[in-house]
Amino acid sequence: MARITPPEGNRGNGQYEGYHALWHLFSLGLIDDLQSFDSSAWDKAEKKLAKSGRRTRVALIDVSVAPKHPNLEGAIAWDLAADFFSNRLGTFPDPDPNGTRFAELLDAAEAIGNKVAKALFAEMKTRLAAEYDDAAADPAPTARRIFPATSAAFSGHGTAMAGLIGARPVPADKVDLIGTKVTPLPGGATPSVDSPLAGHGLPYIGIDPTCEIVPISTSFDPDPEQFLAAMLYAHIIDADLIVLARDFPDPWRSPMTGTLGKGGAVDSEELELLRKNHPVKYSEEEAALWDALHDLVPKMSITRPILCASGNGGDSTMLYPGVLASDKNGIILVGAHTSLGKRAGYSTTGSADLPVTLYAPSGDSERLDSEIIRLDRVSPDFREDTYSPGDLAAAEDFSPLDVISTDVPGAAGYNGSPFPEILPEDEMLPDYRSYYCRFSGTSAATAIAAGMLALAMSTGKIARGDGITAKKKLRGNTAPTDDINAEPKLVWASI
Amino acid sequence: MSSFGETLKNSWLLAVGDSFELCKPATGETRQQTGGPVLTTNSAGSGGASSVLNRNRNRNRNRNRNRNRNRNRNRANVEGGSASYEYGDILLPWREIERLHQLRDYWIDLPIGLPPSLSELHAQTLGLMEKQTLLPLIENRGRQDEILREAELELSGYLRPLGIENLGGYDNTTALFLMVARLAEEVGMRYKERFNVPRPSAVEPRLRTFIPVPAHASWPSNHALQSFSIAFVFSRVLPEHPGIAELFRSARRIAENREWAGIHYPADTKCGHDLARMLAPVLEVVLEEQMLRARAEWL
Repeated sequence: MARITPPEGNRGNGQYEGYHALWHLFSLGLIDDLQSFDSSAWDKAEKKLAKSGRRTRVALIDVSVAPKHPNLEGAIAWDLAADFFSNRLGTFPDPDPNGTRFAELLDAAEAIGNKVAKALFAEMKTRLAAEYDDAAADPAPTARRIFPATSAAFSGHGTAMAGLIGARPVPADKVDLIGTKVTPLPGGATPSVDSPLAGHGLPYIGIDPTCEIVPISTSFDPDPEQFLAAMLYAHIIDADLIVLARDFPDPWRSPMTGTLGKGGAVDSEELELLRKNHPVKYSEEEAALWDALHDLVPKMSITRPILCASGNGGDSTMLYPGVLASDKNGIILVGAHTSLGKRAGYSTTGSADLPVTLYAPSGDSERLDSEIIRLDRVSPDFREDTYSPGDLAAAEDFSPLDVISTDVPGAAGYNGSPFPEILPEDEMLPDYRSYYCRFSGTSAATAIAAGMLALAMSTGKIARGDGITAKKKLRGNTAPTDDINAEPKLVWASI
Repeated sequence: MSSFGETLKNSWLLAVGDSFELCKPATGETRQQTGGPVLTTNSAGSGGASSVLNRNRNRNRNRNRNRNRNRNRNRANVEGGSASYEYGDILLPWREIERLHQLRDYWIDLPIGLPPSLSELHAQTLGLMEKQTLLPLIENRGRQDEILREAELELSGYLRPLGIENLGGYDNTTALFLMVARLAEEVGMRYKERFNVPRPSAVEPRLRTFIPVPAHASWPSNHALQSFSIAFVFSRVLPEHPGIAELFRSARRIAENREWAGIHYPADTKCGHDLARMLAPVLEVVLEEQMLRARAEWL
């Protein structure tokens, strides 16, 4: 046949293997047995919860979390969720009109931090009780009220973080994966279609399915006050641990290189450059707020361990405030390793002075530079003949597996759907595929590490209230971090 | 056995290509690798190649391969003053304007407080006077150009921090920014008129402005409100973008340039920022569809 056919074998064929959505639980050594999916850790956490009634409370400082995800039902403490995106002192996306928990926690909270932090804390303490009632009122007053910026459609990152930490499986009898409803043919009877999904539940689970997650949402405005308020809020609700898979963009304290000055501060030459290049006004008030935050984060981490993402730059420039991690505080720097046990291509490395605390599972990225060669040879974009044979030989370590987490149901989120908004309502086929997404980056690794720490607290392996010990135990050993081999890896048995 | 294992062992959720499949647990041969059980499927997925720059930004080394470089944005079509978007890149967003007004109760009386007193404002003109003396200096040539460029709505200050200034394939993102600017302007005009704060040069005539003084009131600054609204809205669209803090700084610079031009007090800039922040929850509802279309361009 006269047809132009490209030669086979020099490009990726796109034939990725499918894989189990919960592979990371096996990497972490949480599941004892593949056939039964038993985990003695979950058993223990459930028993302990039945006795104490106190769930491990995880403060998730991130973007908002989508409500109504079936796997997150019961995982999110909506009565405590707060938003600092739109309202400087905070507002509440879903307060409980009859609940007393927030009021009690607010009452019991004591001031923390330096003078500036204490002043903001005092303002929050005065305002938040009334704000809670206003937000809970039905109908909520509209005039002179600031609503939260927490709509489900733009909650992808937070929803994925929450799922990895604490999603719950939904048993088959609790979810109605009914067949497609079909319009009758003209003049014909209503056809019925058997659902191939009958008998299935939604078999996704977070690492600690007994914890409760409190979404604390902020914007990405480099406004120090909102970060300070979000941190103070984590303190107000008495969080057992704090998840911070993002940076606080302090203009003078976010390093440009891995060369750090005294006490982990930005190197003085770098600082001078940064100051010269700052394109906008920098006020004394702003400086005081950044200072207050700088003081507060490590201080809080001593009682409430803070898990920070090391960063996705692939270089040695850590994110702030993760750069503040030291032996004297409970800031835990989390890097990412792949399903093949290698450091993920994007995962930021540390130094002897500022090591990555531990590595947790996540996805990978391609690289081709003098440090790492990692190429996705399955990708349809891959063309073998554009690379040197020597580079190709070194490129075998790429892992195509991302971690899987919960996603905003419907068209929004990371994983879309042909249906605009899909919630499991009567007579509607839930598009369960849109409930999940591929997730990666050191964000995913941080969420996984947070889930492990929460589970260790829920089972009593790690005590609450001591960040420094929590960090040591979670890390599991005292050998120096090995960035090349992504060690130490987070494993349940060594906690 | 914990109550969780039962559901997990009865069915498996598999990541297949870009999507997911529920299935009965594997009964055949499974291979144990470092990463746990891996099943072979024949689905022609493209999962590994699809990603968001967010989730790990280096993943998309080649993600712009198929986008048109040097897109022709046809800027010449945007003409006239600040009300001319309808002649430019987008049609008048009447659906969104309509929805904005359906939600009027949520934005017509946001707690921005009262403007500073006239004496406070007069005192703020001192700082503007100082900027007036600095602006002609050679090192501020760049700022002069910015001020002139930004006198009309122009998106480079928002697109450049995001790395898409000269790339095609982001039409929905740019259309979103134009819509945000249009809606925010409409909101801002109402607040301006309510408080009717005089411009700095009206309070202090010795302040010689670098560009003509706009005809409407000073507080809040619409340049601040519109710029920050774009940043706040994009911060909902794609919070994973590593350039977002820089987008906010660029928005602030555009707002502060109006102070350098002598036509806004610092108080106007601050109020514009604060109003943009309070307005964001309304805009994310009004513009949800366009925001999702914009997000899709990045995924």
